[in-house]
Amino acid sequence: MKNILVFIEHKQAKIKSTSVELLGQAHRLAKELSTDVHALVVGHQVDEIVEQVSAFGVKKVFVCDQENAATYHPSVYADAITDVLQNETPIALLATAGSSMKDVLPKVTARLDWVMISEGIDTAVQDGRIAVKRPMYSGKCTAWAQINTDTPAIFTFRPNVFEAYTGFVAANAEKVAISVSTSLSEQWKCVERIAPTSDKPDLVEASVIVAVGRSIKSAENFAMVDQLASVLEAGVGASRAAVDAGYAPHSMQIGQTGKVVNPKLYFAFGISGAIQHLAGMRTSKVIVAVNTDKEAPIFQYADYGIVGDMFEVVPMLTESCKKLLAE
Amino acid sequence: MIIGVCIKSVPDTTAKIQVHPDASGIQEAGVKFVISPYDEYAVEQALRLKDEDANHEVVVFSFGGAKGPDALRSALAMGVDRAIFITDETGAAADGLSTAKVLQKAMAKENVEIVFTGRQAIDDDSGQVSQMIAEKLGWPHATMVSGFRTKGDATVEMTRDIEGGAKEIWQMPLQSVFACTKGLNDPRYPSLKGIMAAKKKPLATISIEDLGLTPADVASKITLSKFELPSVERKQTIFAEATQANVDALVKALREEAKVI
Ligand SMILES: Cc1cc2nc3c(=O)[nH]c(=O)nc-3n(C[C@H](O)[C@H](O)[C@H](O)COP(=O)(O)OP(=O)(O)OC[C@H]3O[C@@H](n4cnc5c(N)ncnc54)[C@H](O)[C@@H]3O)c2cc1C
Repeated sequence: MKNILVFIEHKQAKIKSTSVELLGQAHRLAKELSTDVHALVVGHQVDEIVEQVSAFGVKKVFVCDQENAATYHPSVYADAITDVLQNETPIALLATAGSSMKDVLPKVTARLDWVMISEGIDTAVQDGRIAVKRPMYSGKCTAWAQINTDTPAIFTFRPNVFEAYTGFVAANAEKVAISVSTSLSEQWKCVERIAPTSDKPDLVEASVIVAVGRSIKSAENFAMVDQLASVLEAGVGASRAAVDAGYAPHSMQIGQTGKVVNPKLYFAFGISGAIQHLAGMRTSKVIVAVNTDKEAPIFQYADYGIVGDMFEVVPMLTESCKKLLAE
Repeated sequence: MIIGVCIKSVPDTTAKIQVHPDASGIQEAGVKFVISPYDEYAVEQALRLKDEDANHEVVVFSFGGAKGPDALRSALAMGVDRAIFITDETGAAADGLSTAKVLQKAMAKENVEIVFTGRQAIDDDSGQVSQMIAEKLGWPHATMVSGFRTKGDATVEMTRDIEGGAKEIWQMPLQSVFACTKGLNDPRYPSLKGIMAAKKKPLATISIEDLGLTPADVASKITLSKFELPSVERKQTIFAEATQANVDALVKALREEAKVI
């Protein structure tokens, strides 16, 4: 029987919440398609991860545990994933649209001559096949992508798009160890990893984001929003105008040519609401705008707003949130 | 060296997207098309290699789309030497792998030795084609390339952006496929002279059959349907003044009404 396979990502000996989210959606799909959920773990010294997988109702877990898989390399990961997919031929592989899976899964798809749909935000079962809803034109519209053959599919999904799943039934997952003999060439290797400059949550995964525009006026003034961000455990983002002015690095840019984010709560401080910025954040569950100009377009997309100076509002907001969260 | 660049013509980022009444796609009439912004970094990086060594030839490729040739002409105006447009009669471009198969064949035919692409086209935002081309060519690939330095004749040191503002520096063979992102360079604007010169530069239009492919080889395995505009109802509770009372009311609403903090 063909199954649904989930690629498990992990960090510091724990399964990432984004992978748990996918395991939940995999179970919903498996129920509709009357099949089981299997999992795939790649890494080095991942026994703990394999153990944790059993809590999520996984019937079988494939494990590629070897030294050269300790950190991401496209060759090793592609070989490991291809090996499992070739032998297992699942209905579909589900993975999170993060930097590693976005990098490697197209390579795997091409090698297997399968089909891939990226950056999904919802699923449906149509005619016994999985269809995926995805943003198009940088979030300006959405469409359903349906596979029109029996070729197995590879899907990536954005983080935070599926409701939390409560139906996990712990099962003793059968462990299947695999190994790949990828020989890494000296020619293609990572020579240095540069840690992020901030300890804030990653924007794509953050559930709260505070973002500021050009009117922040300097990089130093970010200290003000950083305080609010630490109270709310939020990620900090910026408009392109703020990035172009040199107040923030490009990794913080939200929008059509920056990050596309999907938090529960998005604060836009002194951001006008240009179409390219909206493209990156308009799917946020709740949007709060603070702007001195009551005609600013951002207010049309806001659930809540304050017409006013962010240099006054942000400190007040920080205090108010601090008080509330201390209660 | 022959440098290949793959580009796509996409609606301008300022374009307002409207969906066909039958939800089968977007309305293209009246929409301005441009080179996908990330592809401009790819074109620029190729031109920089040529600036260093005029013996290099930069060839730009695009598959499908009514406005494909326009994007190619813009790249020619930036300074690219030649352009090849491959027509898509069957909608194969809806499938990333089909697109990659076509572009790979076209580039192999031109004996391309290094490839630059954008990190993703901003119409379907899939970010697949570059890595797929690399796999088909049997070459290494790199995505999210925000830095690129050649080291000697055959090696590149490149910077790759990953999550949370972290970066990685990789050593790669020059003969690889690089998917470029912002930060890599500042793409040049076409000069008037460039625009005039572009009119005389070769822009070949070929079919997939010219590449030895049949429609069946590249049939799209993906059907797109039910296009719709996002329609999230926003509450629109706007406080007219920045007072402590209003800020407190906002925080209370976020907790009790929206339940997000
Ligand atoms: C190809 C292309 C791609 C682009 N991609 C992106 C992208 O990915 N992301 C992006 O964000 N933009 C993008 N843009 C740019 C976009 O068009 C806007 O220029 C940009 O978003 C504006 O940023 P801003 O809102 O910070 O600045 P502005 O438009 O200058 O707006 C500043 C706002 O701050 C308000 N303000 C001023 N002072 C205060 C204060 N003290 N307190 C409160 N409010 C105040 C003003 O009323 C105004 O509304 C792109 C543009 C192009 C052409």
